[in-house]
Amino acid sequence: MQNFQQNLEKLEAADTQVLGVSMDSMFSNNAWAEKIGVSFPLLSDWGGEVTREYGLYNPQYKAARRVNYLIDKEGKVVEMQLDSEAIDPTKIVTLCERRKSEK
Amino acid sequence: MEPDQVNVLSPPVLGDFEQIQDAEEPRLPRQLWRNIGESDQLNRIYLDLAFFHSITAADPNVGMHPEAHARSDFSAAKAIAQPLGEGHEQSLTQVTSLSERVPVYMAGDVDAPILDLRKATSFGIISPAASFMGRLTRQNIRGGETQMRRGLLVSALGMMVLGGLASVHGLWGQEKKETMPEPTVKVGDMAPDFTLRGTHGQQVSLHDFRGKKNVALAFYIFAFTGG
Repeated sequence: MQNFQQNLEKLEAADTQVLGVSMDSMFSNNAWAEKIGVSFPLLSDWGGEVTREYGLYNPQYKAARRVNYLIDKEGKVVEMQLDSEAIDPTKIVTLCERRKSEK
Repeated sequence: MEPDQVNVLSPPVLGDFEQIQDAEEPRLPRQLWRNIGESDQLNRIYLDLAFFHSITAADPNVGMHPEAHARSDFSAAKAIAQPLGEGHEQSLTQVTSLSERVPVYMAGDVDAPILDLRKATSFGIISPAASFMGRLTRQNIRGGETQMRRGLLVSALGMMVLGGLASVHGLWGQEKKETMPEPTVKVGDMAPDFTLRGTHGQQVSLHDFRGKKNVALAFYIFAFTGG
């Protein structure tokens, strides 16, 4: 999430809203967001319904798999990054900026 | 004779063991027995030796006599505590202690049930036992009762280590390979809509941004962890 925060200006300049999602409670998300200075919403999927709907529920950890999606304005998934490659949002930033400049 | 000198355990030594030591074994098995013999001259305690030796390759029918030609391409055993199982040959040369072994196992390929009898006997349980008992016999002959008891102690320790390993290993062996869920939403799909609560309880929906903004949706595993 810190990596998204560092790129937040670029992402917002490229018309992109960042949303973090996990199966933590909103209270722990709140505490964490304050601790690491995240200003975009961290959403609480308490119970994991959304996580399961996206097929990301990992029963071993009882938590989500680490995945980044880039969803365009029409609601279509245009990019997906899994696991370790999802830690670095640079590719998403680049994609967003390109989409912006193509218009 | 003092009470503490009474040898309560009558030596569980099978008559054939001396023959194993004396028989001319070719190549590695013979060499390893010689190694055991050499330290004998220093202190007769033998703790400077590896606990496990890759000497014998007993078959599942548990023959007592080492199979001279089986598995003789192992390098000499390095240290204590080699877990039995898949890939243990590599562990002989790469890993020297149990504590180093653990992460290898956790991260490694532990899919199949590992404690397969043939491998266990060819490397682990049977042969160290033979090795220890063989030593015991020798101590009995050369040393006094003190050495005898030490031998028993060392032998018992060895057995405990073995037993512990076998059980720990059994647990690991049953562990499934880490399975990752396969995302059902893929590139090109419409992202399923959702409404979730943010850090201050505010409701945030995916459709809020429809037609306005791209959404970078980052699923993370736990708060307060990296990434």
